[in-house]
Amino acid sequence: MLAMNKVLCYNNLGVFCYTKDMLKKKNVKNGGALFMDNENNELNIQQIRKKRVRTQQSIVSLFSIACLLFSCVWGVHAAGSSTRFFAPSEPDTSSVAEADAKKKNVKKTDSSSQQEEPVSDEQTESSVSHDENDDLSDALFIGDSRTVGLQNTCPYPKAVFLCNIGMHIDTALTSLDFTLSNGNAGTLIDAVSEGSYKRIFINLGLNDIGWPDTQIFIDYYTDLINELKTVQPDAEIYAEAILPVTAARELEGDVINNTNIARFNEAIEQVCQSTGATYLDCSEAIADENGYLPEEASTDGIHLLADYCDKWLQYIIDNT
Amino acid sequence: MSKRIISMIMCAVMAFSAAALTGCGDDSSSAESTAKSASADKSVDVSAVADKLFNDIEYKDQLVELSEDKVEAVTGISKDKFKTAKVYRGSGATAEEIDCFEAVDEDAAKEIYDSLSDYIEKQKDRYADYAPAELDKLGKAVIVQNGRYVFLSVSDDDAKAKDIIG
Repeated sequence: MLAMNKVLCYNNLGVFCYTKDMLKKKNVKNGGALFMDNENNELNIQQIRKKRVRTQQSIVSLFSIACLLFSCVWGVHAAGSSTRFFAPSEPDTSSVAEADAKKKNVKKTDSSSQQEEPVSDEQTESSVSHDENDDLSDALFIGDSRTVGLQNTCPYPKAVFLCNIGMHIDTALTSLDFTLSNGNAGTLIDAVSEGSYKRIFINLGLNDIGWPDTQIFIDYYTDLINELKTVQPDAEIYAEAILPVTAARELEGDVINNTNIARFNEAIEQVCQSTGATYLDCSEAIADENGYLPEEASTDGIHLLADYCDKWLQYIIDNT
Repeated sequence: MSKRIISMIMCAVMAFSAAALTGCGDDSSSAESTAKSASADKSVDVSAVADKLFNDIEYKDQLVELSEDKVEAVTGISKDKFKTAKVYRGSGATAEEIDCFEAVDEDAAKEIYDSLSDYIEKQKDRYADYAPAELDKLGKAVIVQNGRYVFLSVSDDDAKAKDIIG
């Protein structure tokens, strides 16, 4: 209860308590809209205040319940999404089944299982001459993107590959595109010097067959072989013929065609004659009767898929 | 008195809800950093992630899985840096590839992450002249480190790769 010299005023922001002196100072007159001094009015005000408090409490309660509900839903959602791949390794059987189906369709995509593939009678006949003991542990492969593909499918982990996408004969000796054992970047020769090899296979030239003159190509190729001989004097160096492209790729009409490839292969043969390197033409292992790379051998008409890389590699093993 | 207690409880609930809402905002704006802290101590099957990237994304090239004993030689990432790895590479026709590593610890994971990042930059240089069309894929290569785990996906569908990697 308020003392008699105090009155209650209210406005739209809440209820305040003023003394009469204070109200006089504020020029609020007796009987005005905001001035009440009897018991009935006080009761009314209290009832209104209670109603208002109840309403405010209801609003706050509803909002809080809504927030709580939202928090629960959000929590469940967040927990669900974060455990998608972080659940303990229970294999997803559906994706495993899909992977199996895919592997069956593409026949051989896993290089680790290449030797378990069933072989045809024809393959069995040719495999009689395969050197099963050759793990290529003494071999170094130097080349461009085709050799990168060979590296990816090669089932012999001891073979060493120094190859890069877009490797050219004119920059093969100068570009610092190889990571050495000390972590620094080095040239091809720096990287070759770090190992000891009995056989070195070079497969370069496809990125250079647009050159109008083969003599410059011959010069660069000769320099490369001579440098390799210097750092690996005991190695036999094999200069591989540039492998053919598919008929469809040839129809694209640019410099990449089998005519140019044949022209540059002659140049490689000349290099071999002058340097004592061995010319190795693996085309017969992968080309069709017209000398083209079969269409099924490649996705772009140039780079060999796993099956054909296997044939290429097997030819190398059988003939070196 | 009891009303005051109820009011205080309500205020606490509202404060918690506000915090939850703030968390939602962070989730959408910096998903990668959230994933890092959330997954730091959780086990990930990198092989399953690699297979899902392989199966759910369409590639132009035919990717092949590297045998475990070749991962170090092909990727240049030292065997002592990772516990397990699954790597898919192509025929050389495209820049498409999948690399998933479980490193021995977070420091090693950071080294793998840096190594793969450097590798992608080199690939951009190589493909710039050789096959410029591949630069688009390399430009949106997805490289993610989640605690001890490192993932790389180079494909046309970087959105799906991000979704799979998480």
